[in-house]
Amino acid sequence: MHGMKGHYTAEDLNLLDEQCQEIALELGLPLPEVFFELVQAEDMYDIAARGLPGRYSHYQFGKQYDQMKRDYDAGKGRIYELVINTKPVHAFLLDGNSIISQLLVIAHVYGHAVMDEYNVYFEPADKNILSRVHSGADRIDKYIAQYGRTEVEDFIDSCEALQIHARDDQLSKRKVSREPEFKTEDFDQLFPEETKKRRDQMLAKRQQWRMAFPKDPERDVLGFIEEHAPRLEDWQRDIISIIRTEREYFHPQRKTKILHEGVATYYHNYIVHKLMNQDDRFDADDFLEFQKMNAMVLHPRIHTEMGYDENDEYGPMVHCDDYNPYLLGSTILKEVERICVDPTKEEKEMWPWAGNIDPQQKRNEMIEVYNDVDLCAEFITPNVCMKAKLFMEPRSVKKYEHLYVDEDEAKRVSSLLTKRAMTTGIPVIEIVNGDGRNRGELWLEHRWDPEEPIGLDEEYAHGTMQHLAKLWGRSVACHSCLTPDPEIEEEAERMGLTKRDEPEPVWYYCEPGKDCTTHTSLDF
Amino acid sequence: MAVAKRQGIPTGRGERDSQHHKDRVRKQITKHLKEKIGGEDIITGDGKIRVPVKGSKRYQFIFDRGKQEEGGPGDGPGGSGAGTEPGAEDYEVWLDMKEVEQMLFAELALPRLKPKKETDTEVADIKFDTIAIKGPQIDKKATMRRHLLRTSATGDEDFEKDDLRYMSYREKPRPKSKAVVFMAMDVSGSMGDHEKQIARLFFYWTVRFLRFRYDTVDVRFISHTSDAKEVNEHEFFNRVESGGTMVSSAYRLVEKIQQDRYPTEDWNIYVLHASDGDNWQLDNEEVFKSIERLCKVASLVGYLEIAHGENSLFYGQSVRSYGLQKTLQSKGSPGPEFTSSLVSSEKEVWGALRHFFAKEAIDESVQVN
Repeated sequence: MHGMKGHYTAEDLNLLDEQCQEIALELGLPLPEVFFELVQAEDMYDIAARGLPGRYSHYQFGKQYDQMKRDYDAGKGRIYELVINTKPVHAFLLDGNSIISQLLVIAHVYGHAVMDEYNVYFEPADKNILSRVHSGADRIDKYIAQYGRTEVEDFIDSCEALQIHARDDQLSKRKVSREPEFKTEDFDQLFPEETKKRRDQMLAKRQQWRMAFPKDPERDVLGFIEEHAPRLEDWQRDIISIIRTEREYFHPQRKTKILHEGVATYYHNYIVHKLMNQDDRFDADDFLEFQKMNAMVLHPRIHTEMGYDENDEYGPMVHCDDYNPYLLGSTILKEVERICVDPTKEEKEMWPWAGNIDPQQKRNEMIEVYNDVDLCAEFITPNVCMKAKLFMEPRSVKKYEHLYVDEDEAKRVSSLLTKRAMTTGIPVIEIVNGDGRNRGELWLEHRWDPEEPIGLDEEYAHGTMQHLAKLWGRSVACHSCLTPDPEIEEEAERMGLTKRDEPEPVWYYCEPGKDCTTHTSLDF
Repeated sequence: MAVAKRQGIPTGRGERDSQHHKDRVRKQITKHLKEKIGGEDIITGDGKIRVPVKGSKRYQFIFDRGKQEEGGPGDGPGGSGAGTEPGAEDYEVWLDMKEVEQMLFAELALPRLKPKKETDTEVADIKFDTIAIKGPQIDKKATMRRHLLRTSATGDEDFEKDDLRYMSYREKPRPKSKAVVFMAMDVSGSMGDHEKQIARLFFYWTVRFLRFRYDTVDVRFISHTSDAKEVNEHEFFNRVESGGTMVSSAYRLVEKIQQDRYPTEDWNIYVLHASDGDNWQLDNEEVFKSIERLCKVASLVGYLEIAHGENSLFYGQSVRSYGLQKTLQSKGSPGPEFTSSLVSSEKEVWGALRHFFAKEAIDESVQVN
């Protein structure tokens, strides 16, 4: 921008903000109010390390803070977009960044703000979260003064080890099982023996149900501990409740990461392009600077290593071991936009709305009701895979056509990403028994995917179980499986043996204050 | 107005938390060093020591990574998904000797160190006890008083820059503490390789600690068999001898050197002696008397008994009734300055150092084992 290289004032930013708002409104959704705060690098790392400004004091945040500072000092600084879902929305701009990167962030933030405002999964979000965060931080400060920093920080570490296991959906009603009842049937009197048998079975079941604790498997591990752990002090229960409150804030973000970043990226691209087109304060250099940053944001996560392609030729291979949510989300939105106006024959068959809907209406509908699971299950097509560089098989980079993705591979990508979006990459863990072996043991069940059983990392399971035992105050056990070794499975198949139905079970068991151990059964 | 400089979002915990994290790492390293202190490699290495930092992992239930097709949950830039990634791996820190000393020796000190002779006043003590108009640290009380003095007449309630008062320091000369440490080591035939190694390690770390903490400490080295010799540092750590044992010879030599060269008016006296406790029976009475006399002049008389290792011919002897430590104990306490400790492996060397030089124990009377 003319005369603004490195020098700009808050007024300049305000003008940009107003221009961004004007253009963003063209996308069809009223904008929530956003407050941008210009902060110094230290404050930015502080907020970024915590995820929420003013969160409680803990050494782990300090570690992340150091990491970011080191990266920054090493020249690996990056553009931060930090948006806090409050009313009004709070966002942060790093003081000293170029005016073009400030523009990119401002435009990007409006996409996030729109998602936070309209997406159904953010409906339960507490828009006053910051005051609760601050009150929590104050209370934890008090506990640190009273019980010692190490004691409190260690306790938080233990909670953090388990905080990720929460109830899946904040929106849906929980199923609650009822006490089994005996239902009389017609002609019962004609078959007294059968009826008695049926009644006895029911009575046994009812007895079992009455003794069961919890009645239904519980996924909110920390919640269960907060309520039922026998030996926690009040301050410890309070810390658990603080961590659970803050977890609720992050939960919908995890469910909508791809869509969130996709919408934000879509917004910033639309706004910046339009603004640079219509405002002659911007020149070609500004546009190039923006495109350079945009390319960094949208860089696919691909890696190159040496290997063999299908012709057994040795050479560099690209493969992707992860996806970039910014790239994937915005690619999907753009693809959907095309399908709305210019669908192929197959696409018309697949989506009845294809070709006869306003793309803006479709996009805003997606903003309102989709999450990552829906997005991955429905829209990961070969086109999307090629554009977002999602491959299941490593590719030779010698031939460009090798980057082609067919229907079958796209389906596999879609199924993988859908599964991952469902669990957000976290093993599903349920509490199934709060009084194991009648001595108060806490039993967990790892619900592995029967189609593709993957066990737990043993070292991490042991570490986590120690934290759990510390919180529960009594012995804890977790039932999981060993990941079947594909080579052994193949070998067995070759020898004509049938595949096992179930992978080998494994129990992790830990007494408080002792090392966790691995067992094949709990009979000891 | 939608862009502003400050809107009262609290920050500033980052720097503090980072300090807490560093403290934690430091504590862990220190703990590890203490276990490692008996290791040979820590001494013979090229001055750098590798210390693994464990426990920095953030445990969570994660999938068996070896067989999982792809990496962990994708967490892009931006801080919205804080805390979803499995924790950082173990890492290693390389420390040089100076850092090692700083960590280890922070909790050690010479017990009962008294200032001697006021002629030596090199050591300056810094005291924050004056008030100045400029300075780094504001003095609230002084500022308030100044403010009251100024405003009592006018009734003006606002603070002005002129009111500010700061704490200031001045250098206060402090009488210097001079100390001499006598180190006596048994090098007789019954001291096997294992016992000598422990004794050397103990003295090695003691010397390092003294040189690290005190600028003006004299160290006298004495090695003894059935008679005692004053030797230089190199000889002390490297001399190999054999022969019988008469512990009293060492204590007598200490007494003699002390009387000749280190008057108690000028010097704090410390005596350390390491042996396997295998003394000539008839000599024990003499040793006890010598120790009693030394307790009257010294701030600490420490005796380290090294239990024989499993490979030694004398294995198990030191716990027998005629070991020197047992014998001394049976005679009662020669004075609160005397203390003894028994070690049987390299791992216990740190414990012994703490036993003699623990900072917290300085003001309490040292217990007799």
